[in-house]
Amino acid sequence: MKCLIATLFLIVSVVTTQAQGVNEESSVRVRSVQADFTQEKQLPILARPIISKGQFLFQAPDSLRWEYFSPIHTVLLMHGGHTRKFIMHDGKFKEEHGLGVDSMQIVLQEITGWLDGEITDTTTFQVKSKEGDTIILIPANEALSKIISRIELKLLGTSGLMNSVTLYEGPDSFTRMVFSGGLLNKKIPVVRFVEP
Amino acid sequence: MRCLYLLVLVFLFQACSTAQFPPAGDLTGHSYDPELAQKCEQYYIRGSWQFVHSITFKMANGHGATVIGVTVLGKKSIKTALMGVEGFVLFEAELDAEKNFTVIRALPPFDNSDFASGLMRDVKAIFVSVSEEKPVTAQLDDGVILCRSLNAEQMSDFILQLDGSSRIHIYDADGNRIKTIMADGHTLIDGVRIPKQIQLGTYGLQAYTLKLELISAQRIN
Repeated sequence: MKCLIATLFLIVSVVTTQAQGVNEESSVRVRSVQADFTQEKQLPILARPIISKGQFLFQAPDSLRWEYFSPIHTVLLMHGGHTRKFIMHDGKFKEEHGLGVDSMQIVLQEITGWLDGEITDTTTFQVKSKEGDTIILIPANEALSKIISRIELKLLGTSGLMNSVTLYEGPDSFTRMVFSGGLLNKKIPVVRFVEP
Repeated sequence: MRCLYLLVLVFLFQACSTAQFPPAGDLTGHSYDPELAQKCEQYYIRGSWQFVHSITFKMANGHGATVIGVTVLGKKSIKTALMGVEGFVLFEAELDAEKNFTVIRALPPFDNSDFASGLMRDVKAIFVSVSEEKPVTAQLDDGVILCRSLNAEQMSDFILQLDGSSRIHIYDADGNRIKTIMADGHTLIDGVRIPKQIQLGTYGLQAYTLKLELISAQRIN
């Protein structure tokens, strides 16, 4: 589960980093990012990919809402140093306990670190290449490389928003998130980060 | 994290998770009735299909978690994967036509061979008939249909209820009930009845339940 949570936050990190990277060039500080996303999960055993839909909200310095509307309605919230996960059961959100919260907080440091800096090598990922709107990240250590082979980011022009993030678990196994309706630096009510 | 490790322990101690329950009915004097057997067999889906379920597991102590489960039934093979709601693959394995079991990916705490084989046993219990031999069949006094199958390791009672829902009770060689599977709320896809909810439960101190909610079912070539 730690790996799962860490990976989720790595994706989040990448998304926010993506926005930050562009903003660096335009000297605009990222205060918030929000976007809808469609996620495609492909595995060798799948005859057809699994499609998920959701929404991503980030407010600096450390507030996050990562919500899937389908196929399972879940919400991951981070705010004020606390991390909670909720899953919809029978029309009501129930909090799921026992997650690797410590891992979340570690990865959150990655997020905030990137937001304050530039897209560059960290202890978790190294920038392998930057060509046009595409950035390839690879794991910085062997243990992580057994789980994630690389992450591919695609910018949405010079808007400061990302077009897609693709996380490769293996040659034929990947998770691709395509973002839409992205908004940068729009005020997000705090309640969105504390209540499912 | 802790609850996932507990889940693995549950599978490891699955052999201990038994309870004495009498079989669903005394079938002395009954034999194979093809008509009744066919009604039982309709539960088991034929052909090649891909199923995606949300799987909520819960242990006796109340701990649990929800994952996405993928099951791909081939003509003679089964492929299965567990992934987090966010899509990250935790476990992936295949049982091929020659019954070779291969774990393709397994992250801690799922990187345990006993967990892998236990998971595949559960998948088989849900999707595959226990025995290829002809079952003993009966229509009980309350109208339900019972099909009893035996193999060297276990016995299963498939019970088709009047409302179309089904129950499968699986017993070990000593007659201890080790699993119950309940399938309810069917939907028709490509003319095939697919259960919307499946619940698998085990017994004893290490009891656990797996609640499967159908997300999608697709016939594949």
